[in-house]
Amino acid sequence: MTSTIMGDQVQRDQMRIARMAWGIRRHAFDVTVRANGCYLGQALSAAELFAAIHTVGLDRSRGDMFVLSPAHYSIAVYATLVELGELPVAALEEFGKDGSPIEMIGGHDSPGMEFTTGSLAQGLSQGIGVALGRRLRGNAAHVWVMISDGELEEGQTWEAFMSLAHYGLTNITVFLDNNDSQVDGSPTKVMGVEPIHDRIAAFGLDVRRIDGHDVKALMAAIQDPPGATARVVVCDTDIARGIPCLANREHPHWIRFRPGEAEVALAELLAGEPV
Amino acid sequence: MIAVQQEIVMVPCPYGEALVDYGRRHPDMLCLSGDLSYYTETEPFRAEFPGRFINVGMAEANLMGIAAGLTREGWRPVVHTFGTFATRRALDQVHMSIAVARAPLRIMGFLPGLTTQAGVTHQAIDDVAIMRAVPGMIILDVVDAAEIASVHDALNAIDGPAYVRIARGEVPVLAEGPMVVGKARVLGTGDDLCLISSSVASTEAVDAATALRQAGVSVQHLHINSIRPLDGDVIANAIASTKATVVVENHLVTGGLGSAVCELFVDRGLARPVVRLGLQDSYGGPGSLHYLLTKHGIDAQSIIRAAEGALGLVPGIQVGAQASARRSLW
Repeated sequence: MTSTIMGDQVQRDQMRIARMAWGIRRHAFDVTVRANGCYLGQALSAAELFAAIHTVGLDRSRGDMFVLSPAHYSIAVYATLVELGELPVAALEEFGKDGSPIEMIGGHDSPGMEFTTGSLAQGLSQGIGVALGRRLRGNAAHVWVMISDGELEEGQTWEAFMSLAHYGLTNITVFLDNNDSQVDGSPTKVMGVEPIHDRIAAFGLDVRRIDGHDVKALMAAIQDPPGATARVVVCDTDIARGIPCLANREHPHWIRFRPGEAEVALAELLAGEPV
Repeated sequence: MIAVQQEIVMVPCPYGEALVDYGRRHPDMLCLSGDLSYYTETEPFRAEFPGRFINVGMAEANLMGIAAGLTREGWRPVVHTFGTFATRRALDQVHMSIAVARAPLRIMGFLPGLTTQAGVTHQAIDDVAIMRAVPGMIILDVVDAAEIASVHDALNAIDGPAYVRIARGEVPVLAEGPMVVGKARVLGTGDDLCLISSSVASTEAVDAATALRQAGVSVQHLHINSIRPLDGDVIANAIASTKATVVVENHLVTGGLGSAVCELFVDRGLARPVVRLGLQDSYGGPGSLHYLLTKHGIDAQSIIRAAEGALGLVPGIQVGAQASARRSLW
């Protein structure tokens, strides 16, 4: 009986995450059309990751903090807040407008953002500072940090991994959106970052590599008991997830729809809506 | 004529104990180090408060980010490294992780200007210029024993970031009493020459002022430990009430105190001759402080020559012998 109830809860969470992920993609698509350009692919690749962290990970009543390191994913943060009912959907109409904090590359004043992280690879260090500060105060709240594969090319990311292991912090979890995309294309061509798992594991961290669109795997990465060191979850993702017509773009880093393309994209998105 | 020099008292390492004292009174303060604990005089703090001492190793970008994150939990980090590393290696982090959010922390930049024999990699000759281009950053330049001992108390009310370039080891006593952010220290009054100095250039300026006074030149001497905010009214009044101004700094003449004073000339419409002494589009290089100050024209004799030129005097005033002897300490 108990296992059935728990099973029901797991299923409800899975469905909630899947629906939220779809909602994040839909909001990001709408903003991309309305603003005539946005970092849409980042929202497509990380939608399940954002939804899972905010559904079964982040506990606001405990004082948990979410830290976005690559601020180019800001649209995913705003969309997540809309899905959570913490930001009115009308706020997305302010995206990119003069003086609006709903910035394309948000800063510490933007909704859902803690730091100004558009200059990449600075978020993890700051999240570690928060986690250290909480441990020093005996505060049990958790820090959830999202980083990206491109940020592995910045030395500061490895400085941060080194210190994360050195300080033995376990009140922080890192999610890495490995969408195989940076401005000039795939990191494989620009500057190789593989083997990601082995490199991070060599720093003494609790690494696991999953399909970043697999809701069950994301939930397990969040809910499994913590290891002896901080967990880093490498999420292999697809930058065109949910809108496959974008898959062949030479430059998917920033998307402006071409004439007629948005209609195709919307049809693809709607076809994938969870029932 | 050769001047009889007043003696400047030197004090060993006042920072370490002052930091411990401040830490006792401020339990939210944390001491951060970038693997330079002994060389930034933080070992007494580590011994007294091991739980509030965090070594981030040789990783200045991460150091600045962790410090910024700690402020979010109510901690008040004091970051210790060398000025070159704080400004050149981690400038983007200083801007984006710290300054744009006005994170309330202190960055202590040791080895200001030419105060090290470790060469150009360790000589912070541009740190003031760099930090003056960081919006909202408070910038102090402390060399005197009393101001070093009081600098954290002076910054206590500042609810934002501050950069402090700070001398270590044997430091001079130039004035009595605690420093005040935004206030110039008046080391002498007069109406011929306005002499404005900072960091170790201030001890050279004291020697120069002594020799000039003995030669009959009336010198108004301002020691500046607060570069932002600058004591604009006091400096402008000193400039306007004298015939010429010499600014001397342990830093490049571009972007530092000399530049700030010249901006004041323009902003206040002051029309007086002004000479800027400091590194002239040049790196420091190998050698002792006295050698480097002389080489780059930041020594007492160079200040005297500049003053003679600015005031239209016949050159000939010589710095006192004791000043040269004391300089061997550094």
